[in-house]
Amino acid sequence: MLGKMGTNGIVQGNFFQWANWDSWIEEILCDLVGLVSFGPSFVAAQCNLLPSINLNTYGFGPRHPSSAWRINLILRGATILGFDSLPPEGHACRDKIQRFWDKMHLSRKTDSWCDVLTDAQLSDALAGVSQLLHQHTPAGYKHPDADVVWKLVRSLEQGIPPVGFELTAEGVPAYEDRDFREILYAGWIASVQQNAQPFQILNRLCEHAIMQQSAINIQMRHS
Amino acid sequence: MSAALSRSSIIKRISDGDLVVSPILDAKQLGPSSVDLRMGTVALMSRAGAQSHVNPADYSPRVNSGHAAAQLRQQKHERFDIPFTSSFLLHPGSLILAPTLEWVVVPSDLQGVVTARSSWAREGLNIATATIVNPGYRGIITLELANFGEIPIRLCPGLRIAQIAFYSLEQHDKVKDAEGLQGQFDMSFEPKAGEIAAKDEPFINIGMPSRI
Repeated sequence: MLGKMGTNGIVQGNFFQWANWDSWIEEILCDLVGLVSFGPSFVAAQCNLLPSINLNTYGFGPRHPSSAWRINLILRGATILGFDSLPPEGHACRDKIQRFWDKMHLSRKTDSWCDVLTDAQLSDALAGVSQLLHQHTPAGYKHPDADVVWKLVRSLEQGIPPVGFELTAEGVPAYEDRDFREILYAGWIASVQQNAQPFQILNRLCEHAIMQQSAINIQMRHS
Repeated sequence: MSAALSRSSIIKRISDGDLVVSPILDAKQLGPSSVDLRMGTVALMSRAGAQSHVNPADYSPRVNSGHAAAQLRQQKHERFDIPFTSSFLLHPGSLILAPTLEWVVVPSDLQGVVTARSSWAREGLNIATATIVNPGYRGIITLELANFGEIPIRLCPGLRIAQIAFYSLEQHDKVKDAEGLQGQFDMSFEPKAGEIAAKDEPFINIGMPSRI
């Protein structure tokens, strides 16, 4: 990659002078905010969307960073934030979560030029963005524990919109406030499993669940 | 002999995960032998539009198929999204298709029957048709709401407007039931116009014009 750029007169020494850094930093900051706001569903959406804009993900110009850079940044950020840590061995959802993150990490580009920030820089940036967003609930994403994820994924696999509702054996409805980002995360996990429902069905189930969950939340506020 | 499920049977089957009515927002939704259903957040209103009348021939795949035909059939419905805490006025004589808030999965040995809640029926709100929910069905239930009264009715998403009772089936045949479920509404997310001519083409005069 560096060699290809060199033929166009771009070398590491003058790279950032050539780039319009004000434009680039805007997109990178949006990625960091997206990551802290939406969590793993943002990672999955970007890993699917960005290659569709630019197939080999290396294309870039003075106004836009390459998609490969952005994908690596988002994936590295997800690891720093602990999104891809797995539940303990033997947990019912461990393999499913692992399969999802393995698939996401396949999008990572190994060219060293694709890692735009060091881990220390990225950690600092994410800490600053997190501190800001988590002051304004619910702007910051809170990663659910694996039991919650498992319940939501299981619902999707049964073709049921995943919401925070159960009926006890005594006939008493029990509710939980399930954030729409948790529902979307479960949807992405379900979509990469073997024998998964078609993506458009999972998408509709998640959309329906988000609508149902808002009704549950209204009920919870009034009871 | 088929029998209606009692409240305790409904609770047991829902809590076992065999029967799904989700979410139930209030224990009061569980009646002695039924579950109240709430209105969802979409309404499809029938409009006269370009169609002079409803003609089964328009629905025949022999005559009309593909995207254009589907679009033609959908044109007579205007879609409204109704967020929670907002409302929709159903005027006298009007018909809307509205989904239930609840997602329903009926196991293969049960059949659901949907009816209006009597308190709403007394105000003129009618849920006239499509009362049978087949075994194996999964999805929202489409409510066909008509105002038979003389004054408009304000409908809000989340209101309990219908109820579903469940009946056990005698000698259900899982294989044949599954075949029958390749039906037109399996896994429905929102209301849509029905395929009124499905498998009835021999009885339809396809030369009959539908527009004047």
